[in-house]
Amino acid sequence: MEMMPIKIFHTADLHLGMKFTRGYAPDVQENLVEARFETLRSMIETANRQDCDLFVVAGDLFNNQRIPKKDVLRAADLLKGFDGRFVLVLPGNHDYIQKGEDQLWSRFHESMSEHTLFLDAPRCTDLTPHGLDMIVYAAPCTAKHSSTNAIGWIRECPKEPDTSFHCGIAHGSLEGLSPDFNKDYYPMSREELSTAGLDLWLMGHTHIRYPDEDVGTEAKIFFPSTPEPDGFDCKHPGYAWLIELGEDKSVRYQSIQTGRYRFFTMERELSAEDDVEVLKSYFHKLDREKHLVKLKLKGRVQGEIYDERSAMLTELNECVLHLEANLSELFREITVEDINREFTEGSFPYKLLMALAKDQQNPISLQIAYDFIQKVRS
Amino acid sequence: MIVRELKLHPFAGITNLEINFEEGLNVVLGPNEAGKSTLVNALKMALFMSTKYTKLIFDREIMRFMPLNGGDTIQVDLSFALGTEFYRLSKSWGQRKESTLTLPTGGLLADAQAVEDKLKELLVLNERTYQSILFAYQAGLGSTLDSLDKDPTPTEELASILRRAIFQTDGVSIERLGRTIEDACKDYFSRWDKELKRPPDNRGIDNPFKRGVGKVLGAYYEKERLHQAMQEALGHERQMDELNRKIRALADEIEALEEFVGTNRQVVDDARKRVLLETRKKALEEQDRRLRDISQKWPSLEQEIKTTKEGLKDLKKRQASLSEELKDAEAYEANKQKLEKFARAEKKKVELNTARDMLAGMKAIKEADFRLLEQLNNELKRLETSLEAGKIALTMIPEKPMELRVAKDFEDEISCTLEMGESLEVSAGGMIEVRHPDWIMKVKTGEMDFDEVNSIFNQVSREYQNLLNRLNL
Repeated sequence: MEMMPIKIFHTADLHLGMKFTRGYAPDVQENLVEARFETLRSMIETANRQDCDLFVVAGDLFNNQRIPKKDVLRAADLLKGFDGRFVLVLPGNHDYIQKGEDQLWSRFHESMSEHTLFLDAPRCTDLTPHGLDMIVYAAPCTAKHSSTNAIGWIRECPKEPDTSFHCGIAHGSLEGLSPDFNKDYYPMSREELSTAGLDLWLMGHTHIRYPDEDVGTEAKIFFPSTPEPDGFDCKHPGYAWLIELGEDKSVRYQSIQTGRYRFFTMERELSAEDDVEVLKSYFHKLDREKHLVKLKLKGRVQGEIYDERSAMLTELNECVLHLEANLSELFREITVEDINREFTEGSFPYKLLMALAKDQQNPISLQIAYDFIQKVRS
Repeated sequence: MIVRELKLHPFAGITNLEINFEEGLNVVLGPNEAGKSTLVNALKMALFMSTKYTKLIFDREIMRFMPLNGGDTIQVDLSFALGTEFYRLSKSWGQRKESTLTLPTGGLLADAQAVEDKLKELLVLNERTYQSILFAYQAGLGSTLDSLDKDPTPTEELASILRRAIFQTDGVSIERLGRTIEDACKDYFSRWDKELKRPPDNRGIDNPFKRGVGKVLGAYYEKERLHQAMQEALGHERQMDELNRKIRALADEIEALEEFVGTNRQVVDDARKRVLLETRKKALEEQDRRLRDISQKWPSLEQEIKTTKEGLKDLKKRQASLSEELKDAEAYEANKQKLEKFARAEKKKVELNTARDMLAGMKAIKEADFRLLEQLNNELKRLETSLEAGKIALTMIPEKPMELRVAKDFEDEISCTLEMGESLEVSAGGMIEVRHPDWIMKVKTGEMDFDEVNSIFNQVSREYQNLLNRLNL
């Protein structure tokens, strides 16, 4: 049989069913939940447009084991929209496969299409009978935590030398890339991956794009990141990989930007009205339909700016879908001139504030004293 | 500083007004809304409000003085003297923002910041000080004047009085400030050890304070609660992982066993069948053994049955006979008491007849004879009884065999033969007599005279016998 190049759309960590209970407004919460399904649909459309042969979900398609039935069926239906040869779905550590009664995956299995390969066990699947010069080695997760990864068996597994591509699909942390200090999440090392005898690793778990480049030809290990950003820890857009495997065993990959929402975490120091204007200007460039911002404002500003901070936040809030603002380190700038202007020279409050104003390192004391004095002065 | 001229053109409700102040105290009098306060505001604006300002400052501080009858600019000119030096200040706000200060030398400052800096230098004290003292309003004026009235040297003491009254606290109530700080401290740090940065008395989340919890402690408890909840959730997840691991191990084991069973199905089936067949075989062997045993015993048992059957006939006959006998016995038993009673009656009847015969043969006895007979008989019995009351015993052991004749009391003599060593033991009431061919031995009791008693007994006996003979008894 003549073997053709293989095109793979690689995603992971979609976390369908994530609830977003972090204090978002109800409509925002609903949109964030819905967006993850929309992103799956959108990725399948992209994969179809790109004529992909395989659509690979390398773990955590679902956020947990208790996903409502309708959501499971919806995901299975969306995956049926893929026009390529196979959809490959691997259970990750959030939607791990359970022995015995596993409602999540039994429902998925019942409603998935015939061209979905559910990688529910550590075994290899030969795709060559289907015209794809590839053998897939699956390493599904069987618990949320595991100090041992699931790829150990692959190294010992005899490899068919006539097959061009031996492709591992696994889920877990990668040493040096993933934050897994206690080694709880199926920890893997590059050494383990590179000595397993495979040509390609399609991974999931870490919400960081790896390799962190838009296009390339050298990498063998791929983490696509989450396709739909899911919180302020995710500072980048959603990504997926489009990977082309040539007949000459070449690998070309391209990072595809996916997802609807962006989460921005920013910290700004304000000192003058210009800074406020710059901040406002930045916010006015954001998308009020798609962007969520966690903002921390620091610094000491003139009284008139400080007094107008609520109005400023209202203005900023209108520029984005969701704004979490922390102003605990933003203080009124109380200068020597301010004290001179507002307090009688030699008076108790004058002396107190002047003494505190000399300590530039501790503006909060000056701020508190000023606020107290203003409160009792009226 | 002595203010000489003040010009408003325009400022708030005043379109154009120029006032020249004289040496000494100037008093401005007028009804309400005449513009007295506007003059003070214009003076303050000229001295302290820069013409370089933000929109916010404009909105808050300047806007209210914009001309009421239209126009976008307000302006105040001020001439003042410091000692012998004269200055002229001009400021405008609104659309036109300008500051100029003409110096005594004739020099002109037109940069807003330079004008402000120079003014601060000339004024010495800060804005607030001027506001507190020089721009005293009606409310504070009374107390100020009272102080002045009481003080003989108002000019010299003015500063110290005002300093005491106003400078020291600048309108701030120290007590209120103290309370505010205390309240805030309590609000934040109630039940919180600031040095150790934890609740006092080891009252952590496991034994929390219920009342008087300050904001810091509240936040600490909340953090600890969240930490606990997090740990609990992690614990559950770990537990779940462990359970999953066990379930998986067991499921794998089941799978392996099922695979093994699947592979060895035929063997397993054969083994099961063999177990079944062996059971059956064992049962059949047992049955065969029993049948053989029966077959072997059959002839003898058959003969035995035949014999037994014959014996059974005899037994049945015997049973019939015994049954009859039993009936008779039962009937006999039933009649036995009646027969015994009958026999006793028969016997009594015979005795009755005998008694009647005897009675018929008896002669009639006179009562005197009967009394005598009874008396003699009683005497005889008394004598016998008296003998029985005494008691003697004789034991004799011969050294060689001998023939003896022994008599005692009123009894007849008897003979006896004693072997060597055999003892003769005789007891009596009054007398024992032993006769040997060679000797006679008599033993009498010492309590009575036996011979006399014997003589009486013999006499009474003779009388008694004679009477019986006479009466033919």
